[in-house]
Amino acid sequence: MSPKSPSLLQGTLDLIVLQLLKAEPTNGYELAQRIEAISREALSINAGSLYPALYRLEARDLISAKWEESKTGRRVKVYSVTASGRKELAEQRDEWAKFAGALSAILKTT
Amino acid sequence: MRMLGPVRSWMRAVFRRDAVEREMSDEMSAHIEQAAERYLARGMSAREALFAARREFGPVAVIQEQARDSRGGRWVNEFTTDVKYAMRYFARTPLTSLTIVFTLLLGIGLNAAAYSFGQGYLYNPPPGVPNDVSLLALRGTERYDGRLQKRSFSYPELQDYAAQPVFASVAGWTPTSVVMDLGDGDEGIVGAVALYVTPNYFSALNLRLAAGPGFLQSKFDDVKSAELTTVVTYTFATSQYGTAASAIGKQLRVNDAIVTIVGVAPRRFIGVEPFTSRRQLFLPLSAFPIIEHVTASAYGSPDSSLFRAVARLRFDVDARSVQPIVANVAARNLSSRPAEEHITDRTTFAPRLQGLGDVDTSPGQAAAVTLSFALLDLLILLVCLTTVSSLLVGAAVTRRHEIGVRLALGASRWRIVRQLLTETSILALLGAAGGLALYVMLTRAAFVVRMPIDVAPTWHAALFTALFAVAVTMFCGLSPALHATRQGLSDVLKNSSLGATSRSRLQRLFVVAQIAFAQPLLVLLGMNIVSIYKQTGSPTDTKLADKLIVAQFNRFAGRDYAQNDVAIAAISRRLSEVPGVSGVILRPNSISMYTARPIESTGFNTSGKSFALRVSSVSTEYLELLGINVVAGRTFIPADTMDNVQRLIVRADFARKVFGGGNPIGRRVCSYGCTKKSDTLEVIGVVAMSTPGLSDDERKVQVFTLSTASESPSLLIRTNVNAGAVVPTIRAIARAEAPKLPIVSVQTIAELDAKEQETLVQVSSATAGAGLLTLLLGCIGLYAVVALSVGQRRREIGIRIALGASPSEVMTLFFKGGLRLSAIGLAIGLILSAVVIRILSGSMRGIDANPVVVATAIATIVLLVASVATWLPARKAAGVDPLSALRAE
Repeated sequence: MSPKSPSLLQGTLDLIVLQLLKAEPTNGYELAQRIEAISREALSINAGSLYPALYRLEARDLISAKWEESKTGRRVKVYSVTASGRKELAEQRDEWAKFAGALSAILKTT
Repeated sequence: MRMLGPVRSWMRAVFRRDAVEREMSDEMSAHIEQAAERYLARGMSAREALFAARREFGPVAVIQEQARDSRGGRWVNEFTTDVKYAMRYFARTPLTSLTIVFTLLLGIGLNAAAYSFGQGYLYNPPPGVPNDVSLLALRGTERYDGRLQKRSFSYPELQDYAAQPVFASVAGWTPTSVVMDLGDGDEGIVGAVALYVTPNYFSALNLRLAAGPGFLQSKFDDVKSAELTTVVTYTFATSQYGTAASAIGKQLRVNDAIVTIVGVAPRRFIGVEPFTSRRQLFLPLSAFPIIEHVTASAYGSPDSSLFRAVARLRFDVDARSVQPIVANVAARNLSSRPAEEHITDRTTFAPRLQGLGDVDTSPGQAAAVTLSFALLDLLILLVCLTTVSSLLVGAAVTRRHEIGVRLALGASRWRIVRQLLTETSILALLGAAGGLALYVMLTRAAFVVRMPIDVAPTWHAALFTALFAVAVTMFCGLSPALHATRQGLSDVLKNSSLGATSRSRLQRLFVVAQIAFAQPLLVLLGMNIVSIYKQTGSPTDTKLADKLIVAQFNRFAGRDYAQNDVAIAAISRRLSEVPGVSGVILRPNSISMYTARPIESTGFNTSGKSFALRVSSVSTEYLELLGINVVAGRTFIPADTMDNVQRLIVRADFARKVFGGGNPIGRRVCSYGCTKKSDTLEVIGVVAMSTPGLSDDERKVQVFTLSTASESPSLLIRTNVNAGAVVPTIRAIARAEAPKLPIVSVQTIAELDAKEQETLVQVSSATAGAGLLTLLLGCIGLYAVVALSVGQRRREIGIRIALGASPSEVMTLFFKGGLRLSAIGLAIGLILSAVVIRILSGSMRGIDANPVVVATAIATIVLLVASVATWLPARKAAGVDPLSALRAE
């Protein structure tokens, strides 16, 4: 995806990753697929955005990772949200809700 | 807590780098394989599926780089890489790198040491004394025939100070020389310095002894009964007994009195006015009469001015209120003494106990000394930094081609600058670390040689100097780095091949500055060396030194002076009968300083200004024994002792100075007030040479008078064979004639000279070494700039030689260029030297050297050494092969 506002995508990408990993821990590939599927292909995250985001969140202790064996027997690195990540997610969701509400109100004006 | 995550992450990235990289690679490979499986499921072949998956994923290396950035700690990896490159560069250029580090090391270490020495000289209390604003030095000065000198106090005056309510305590001391028997037979009898102190000495200074309880007596005036105990210095205790605690309870024989060691002074403490003797004792004042074989009135009389003093201010007293009180006490005590006509301008003051405390402690002198040290610091730093700058600029210029190639390969400007800065920083930090280590060594050496000032390391000074030098070094490294990367790639490569660059002009400027700044330093060092040699005097003529022996005995042994004098006389008679001994006399007991004036040949009118006389009172046989020939007039004869006329034999140079070029025989001088005939002395003879070296004082004697004294603790023995062979005979005879008379020492003049020369050599070697180092650094810079010029102009040299220039013409070209730089630096340096000497003239009163002569000599030496430094690379230029120089283009 080529977002019109890259800075907006980076801010929302962290939110998206935290939300989806909270719903179900998974590896990077599966996560990218899930984002595309849930957004009905409106959002497509390439590896160049995804992995820096994952490593950034991992460095901040918002997500943790461990190597596991997938259903197909392949060794993959599975990410999951930490307690700090859950707290950060809740805060970001509140902020996003406020922002979305404000934007919606502005867009409704004629 | 959130900070821990990023820190943990980049630490893992740095210290477990391989594992982290492997994980990242495995993770991204797994992603690609999973994507390939999806394409495979759509019906692609395995190969096509893999290609599609890789295309979908994107450039792996770039994504990995982005992922590394997001992890943090990238700067640590980059720094590690920079350090590795820096080490490789140092290995390729060891001489330049070592010179930079060594120069910084010297500059920082010497600069910080000079600052500490200045602090110690001016502001620090004596070594081992706590820095306490309530401690005051009671100081007196007076003018004796116009000469300013210290004034000691009498004991009643000391008591008067102690009685003043402004002082919580007053302590005094009086120093003297004693003979100490350490109990090792003849070798154990040594000279020592004894300080007779008031019993409250250590408590008044708030000093805690390193071992032992200290004196039994504790109050200032507790002197009624003699206490034969002593507190020794820490160095003496450990060198003699191993540890401070082991010294407690040991006994010493001091001037034949047994004293018991009851304390060891704190580690660095060697007295308020430190002496440099390695053997030093603190004795209670009550022991003075017993050990010195005098009555208590010898120190207690109002006419005896023996004491120095310190005072501790009461906590509620303002220091400014002390001065009038001290002045009043001094005036009261001095008025009760008989008037002394030669003494004027007595002052007494009580400054804070700090600094070396010379006689004249006026603010003007303090400012002059401060300026001297500041100037010295500045010169050292300037020489150091110009040398380093010159080398860094040169290094940057020679690397322009390398930098150009790296820029061509994609390195960013910031990357190159960062690399060069890392190299400069490593050199600077190594130099700073070495400099701080040198600084500690120098301050410790000051303690080991017992310098009378406290040069404890002042860390703020050392760190400031180090940081300043590091900052300037990095700046000097940054400038060429920025310049080298500023120009376009093609310009860099083109410029480096042509060899012309403005950086080399900057390097030449630094070299000129370096030689210019080094000049004043070298001139000051040279003047110090010359002064040391002059003041020490020349050693005895070798032939005479091998034929003179000094035998010293302990006259105080058994407290029977008369018996000991008889024993010494008996030894003298026996020795004069020994084959090989051509004469034995009593050695002159002391050398006096007079102030005198020449007077008219007839009458009693004085003429000319007064001068200081260094006088030795000798026996009639003295001059002949020492082989001092009288070149005019006559020597002393026994008949001269029969009348009351005082006669002089003077040195020829002294006679010329006082009486001009005329015949001095029959001329007269008068001493003291010139009020009585008995004050006059008549010149009867002139000698040409200096007194052979029995001691430094004796070598400087200008005038001899006749002594009728019949006691002296020393014999002077002249032999007509090698003196060393006679020494055992002397000892044997002395033991046989006077078994109870301890022998302090029997040494030839050659041995005494050797000891003095050893110290002189050490001091002048250190000074000369510093000068040589300064010179060497200057020449390294000069060599580097000429060598760089040769390297950059290889093509031009090749063309010149190809067109017919001879190698000698090429060599002359570069030699002249290098000499031109040296000459410019020398010219500026000579002007700077004149300015520096003018500024420091007030502080250099004790330096006996002609600055013009020394500066000329230094300039000549610098020019000669610079010529060699220039000739070497110029010679290399002459050997350039034109074919290879042109082909390289």
